[in-house]
Amino acid sequence: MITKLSLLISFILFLSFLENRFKYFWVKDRRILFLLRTKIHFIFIGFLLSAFVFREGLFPFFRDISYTIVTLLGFTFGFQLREKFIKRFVFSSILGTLIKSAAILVVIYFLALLLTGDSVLAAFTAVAFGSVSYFLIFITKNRFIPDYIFNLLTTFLFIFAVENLNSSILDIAITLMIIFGFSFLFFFLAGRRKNVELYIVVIAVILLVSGFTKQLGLAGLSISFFIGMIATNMEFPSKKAIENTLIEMETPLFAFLLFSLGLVITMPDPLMLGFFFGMWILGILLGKLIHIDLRNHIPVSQISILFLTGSIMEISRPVITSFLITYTISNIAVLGVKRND
Amino acid sequence: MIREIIGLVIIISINLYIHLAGIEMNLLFDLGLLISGAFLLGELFHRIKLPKVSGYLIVGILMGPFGSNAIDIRMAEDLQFIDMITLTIIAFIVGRELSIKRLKKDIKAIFIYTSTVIIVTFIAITLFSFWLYQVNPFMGPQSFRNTLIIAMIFGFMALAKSPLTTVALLKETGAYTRTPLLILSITVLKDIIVLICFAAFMALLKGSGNGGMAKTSWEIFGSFLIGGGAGALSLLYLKFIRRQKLLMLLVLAILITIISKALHVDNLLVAITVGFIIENFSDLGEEFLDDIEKIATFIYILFFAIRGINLDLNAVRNTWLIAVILIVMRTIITYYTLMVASKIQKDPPNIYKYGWSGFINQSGVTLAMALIISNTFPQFDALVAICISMIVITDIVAPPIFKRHLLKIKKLEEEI
Repeated sequence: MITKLSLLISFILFLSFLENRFKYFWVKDRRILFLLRTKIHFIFIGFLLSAFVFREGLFPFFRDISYTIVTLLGFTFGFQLREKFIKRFVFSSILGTLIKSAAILVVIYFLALLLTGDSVLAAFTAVAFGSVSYFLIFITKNRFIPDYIFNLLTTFLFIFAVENLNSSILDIAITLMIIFGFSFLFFFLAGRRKNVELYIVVIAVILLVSGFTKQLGLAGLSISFFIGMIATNMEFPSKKAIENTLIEMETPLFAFLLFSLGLVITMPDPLMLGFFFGMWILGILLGKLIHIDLRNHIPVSQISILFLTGSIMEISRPVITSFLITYTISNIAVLGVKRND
Repeated sequence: MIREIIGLVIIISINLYIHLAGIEMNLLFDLGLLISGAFLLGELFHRIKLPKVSGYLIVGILMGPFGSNAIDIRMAEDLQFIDMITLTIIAFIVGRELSIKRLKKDIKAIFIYTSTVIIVTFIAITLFSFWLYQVNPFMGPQSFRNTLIIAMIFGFMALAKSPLTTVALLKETGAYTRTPLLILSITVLKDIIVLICFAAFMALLKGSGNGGMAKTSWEIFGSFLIGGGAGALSLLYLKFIRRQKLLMLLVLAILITIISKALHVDNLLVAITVGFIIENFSDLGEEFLDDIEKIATFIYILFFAIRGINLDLNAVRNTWLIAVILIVMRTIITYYTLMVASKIQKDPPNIYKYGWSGFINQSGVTLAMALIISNTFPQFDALVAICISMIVITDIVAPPIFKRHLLKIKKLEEEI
């Protein structure tokens, strides 16, 4: 008990001193940006404490918390997709982004499948290098919100599709029942409640969804995303307040996921390292299709961390380590981005 | 109300299905079920003028090892971790209610009520228990000395009260008028004094030769010392960092829980001291502690639902009669003691007419005392079962009465 708590303290203390989202500065000619995503150090904190965690048999404990967080973050993403918000954008532009995003994901998926022969790894690679990082929104002062949002939507649809690739119609029916069942439960619990009470409802539903999907071996990430999407389009007050709180929680929770991934770091697989770097470059090239203003590259997206945490038992530790190296390098990098302010 | 009922039907159906089909779900799911069920029953209770905390407690009992066993003993042990943290956070809220400015205004009343209740209740319950044991030796035949010790232990246990339930009900009813705040101040002060006296009593029993006195003194004064240190650090954090206050609060709660366990001090006292320091010595204290209020409902749900899971109903089955007799006696004595004190203080009758119900709920402090006794003197083992019975019965019976009375007091005092 005490050791569990000591560990919790170690990283929560770090969490409390978090910088928000990104830290960056411009170099002389104002065309080069040095980006440092401060949360990355949590991977190393996790790595430093990993021996202790495994020795004490605490890994399942962290895995359960991480799984719940992934479900919560999936819900958070979904919760931002409100019909009113989506309607603000031109349909042809939405369709264009959806098609382009899907094309990138599918190309990377099949290429990765061809190279590795592993469908889970291929799906993960497609999500990691075919989706757009939040960085796009941040650095361009919200100019690319529709691109980001619809890429995100496509990515979650893609995750849902690949997770149900080998499912029978019955399995899919059960998954859909879970999505609609829990959305209905959320609606019932939420009602016309005050802010404080709505947070309790969100936490209760997230725990139910993560517990249920974990028990049935389903993917909490995409299921909770769709629950979030359905929930946000239902009629109840204080929607904005919930969304703000969920977004506020996103940074520390994301740091927790990086920490828990850091726990599984081991010697990297050189082949996989090369593979991920190759896919990263491919992703950058293909990515220009949907965000042409970014000249060189963008960091590997955050959804990859969510997907990876959710599939932590299905991907080997050397592969995870190789990816984390790529992820880290992509997030501490010199970029040639046009400054638009 | 229809929404709550339908929601509860859904939750109960899921629970029943899992129970009947013999499916073993994971802790995440059960925790989700516990929170949503407790929340809904709490809301339903609130609508029919019962305390929310009773709803939380009942859901805990129904889902725990003595109910559907959806949360079995192993899972309940896993939840102890959450229980300890929530307890510490509620203790911050208790400490927060102890504002020096407000205490100063009522210092004379607090002194009179606290001292009268402690002295009279202790003596009366000790004498009564001594007599009761002569009539019915429920722990087997004992020597005169041992009977006196048992009687005195009951005297101490009768004094301990749960400030946690009081703050939860204050929040729910919004009765922040003079009498309810006075009840809370007396409760906290009484608990502190009882702990000190009990420590001295234990030291005397164990004999000061084996360091008993020093150990128990450390438990009390060390708590204030560590609480003072943690409070000072919190003030520095509030002054210089100020960011992520809610997260810092959680860290503080975890830290206090661990340090208290490691250094053998009382985490409740430590956290109350921290809450007290932040409330009284920082301009930003209010802002910081308001953050606790944001999550207070959630914390209460967790705390009381987990408490419900852990209530040992087997103990009640065998010892309920003794427990009921002691509770009734304690209630009568409290009522008349408060009446006498209010006459001395020349206060309106609110405090004894309605306030007595605020002194009935027993707390973890009572159980802790019983456990210390049973560990030190195994021959008094049965005390723990009686003590658990008292806690279970008062936990279920007292909050609804206290809530009704708080609403009456609020109405009366707001009219003035």
